[in-house]
Amino acid sequence: MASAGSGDEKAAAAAMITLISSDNEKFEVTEATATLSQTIRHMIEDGCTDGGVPLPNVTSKILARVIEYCKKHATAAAGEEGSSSSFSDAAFLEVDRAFLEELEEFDDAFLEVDRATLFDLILAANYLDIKGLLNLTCQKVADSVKGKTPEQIREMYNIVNDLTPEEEAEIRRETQWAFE
Amino acid sequence: MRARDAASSDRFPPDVLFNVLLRLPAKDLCRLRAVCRSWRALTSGDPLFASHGAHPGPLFLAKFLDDKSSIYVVDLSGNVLKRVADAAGGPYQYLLCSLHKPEPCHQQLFEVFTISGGDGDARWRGRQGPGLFIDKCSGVVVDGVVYFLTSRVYDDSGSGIRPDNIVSFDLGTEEWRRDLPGPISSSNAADMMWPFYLRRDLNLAGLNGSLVLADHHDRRTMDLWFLSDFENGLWVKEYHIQTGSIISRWAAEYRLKPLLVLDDGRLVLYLASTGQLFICDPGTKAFAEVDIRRLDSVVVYTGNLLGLGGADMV
Repeated sequence: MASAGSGDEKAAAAAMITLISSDNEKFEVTEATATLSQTIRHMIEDGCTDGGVPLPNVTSKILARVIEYCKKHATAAAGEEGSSSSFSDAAFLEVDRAFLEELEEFDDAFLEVDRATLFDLILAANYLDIKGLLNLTCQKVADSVKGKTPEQIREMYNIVNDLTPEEEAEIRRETQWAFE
Repeated sequence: MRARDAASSDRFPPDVLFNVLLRLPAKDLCRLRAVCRSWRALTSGDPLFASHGAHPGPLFLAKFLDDKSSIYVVDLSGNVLKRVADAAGGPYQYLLCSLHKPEPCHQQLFEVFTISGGDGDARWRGRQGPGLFIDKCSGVVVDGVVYFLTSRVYDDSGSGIRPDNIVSFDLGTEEWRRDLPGPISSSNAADMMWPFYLRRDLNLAGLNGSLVLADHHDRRTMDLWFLSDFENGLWVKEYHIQTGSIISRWAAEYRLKPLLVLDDGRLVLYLASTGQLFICDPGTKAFAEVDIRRLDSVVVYTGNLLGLGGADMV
């Protein structure tokens, strides 16, 4: 996949886009990778990517991770499309399954980051409108909150309880069913 | 975009929190209101209600026979999703007795109550009656109009008032509308021989946004007549179902109420005499019982699972 261009088709797919992080670092990515972001896809469609795409909300550290995710998932998508004609059905399914498994492993490893990075990834995915990445990262946080009591969540996320005791009692009364 | 303000901190930025909340079930969301003020604001706001995926499939408000002190939101798989309120208080009380309150004596009183968000103006207001006694349990609201069957006291009285005569009250104008003749008396006069109620059970329902008269005949068949045109009194019989398999021929009481038409045309029916819910497939004529505790009462729930109240009961 990564070998140098062989033929016109590859050359077209390998059109490069330059992404510029908030700290002015430049990242060269293929259009296929960049267009996993709906935000960038629209910029490309509008023809305003000459001279690079500035992303003032995303640091180089986070952008590098986001690109890593997009590269992997763009490859997987291309692999699925490209392989369908050259394999028998059974072989195709086998390849498909292997792809999915590999992708899942990648995603799990990708999520092994500290909390601040995870939040930054969510913000970047939201800004860049990358559905898969937003889902993946938000689900990780949602899972950490699911089934927890308000006390446990405050402790986990260093949240100061600024509700008065009366307000908290009222909330608990109104939503008592949720605490059972 | 607030990303830069929040970047590289382990505090929850609001945009992150919002995206995370969308992926949590309603029960967790309600509990998270008690975390702090900003979480309470986010979990109580309209934007989240609008974006949060609705629970798939229809929901019902139910009271169970073995626990009449609470009201629950349940789905057709029998899952209890939420307890709405204690039956003794909370939003339920005034919803149950809202709209109309006829008295079963020689004279019926009609009063209207407007729930207007607690601005102190909420009071029962007396309204003139329709000129006929109504069946006090028959009220159903469809599109801002309350419909009632006329009372059974006219049965066998020679008054000429048909049992399927329907009176209606427009909640917008707060006026009674003219009587609406039911589909049975207009289509089959011979079948209206008195005493009608020995063999028939009539119920009103609101299905698919239409007023429906359910005519349950001799415990065995039920016709559902949909009102298609109030002005011209046009009714269309859309369902004819056999109920012999769920109601004993000897059942003394067998009030069967249609609750809902599902997207695929199947009917959800409530058999009040036994507290059971059934789903009827009009194609195969088969009934499937919903796996749920015996019910004391049930209505379709139109509120949002994240809200605190909100249901239409008469």
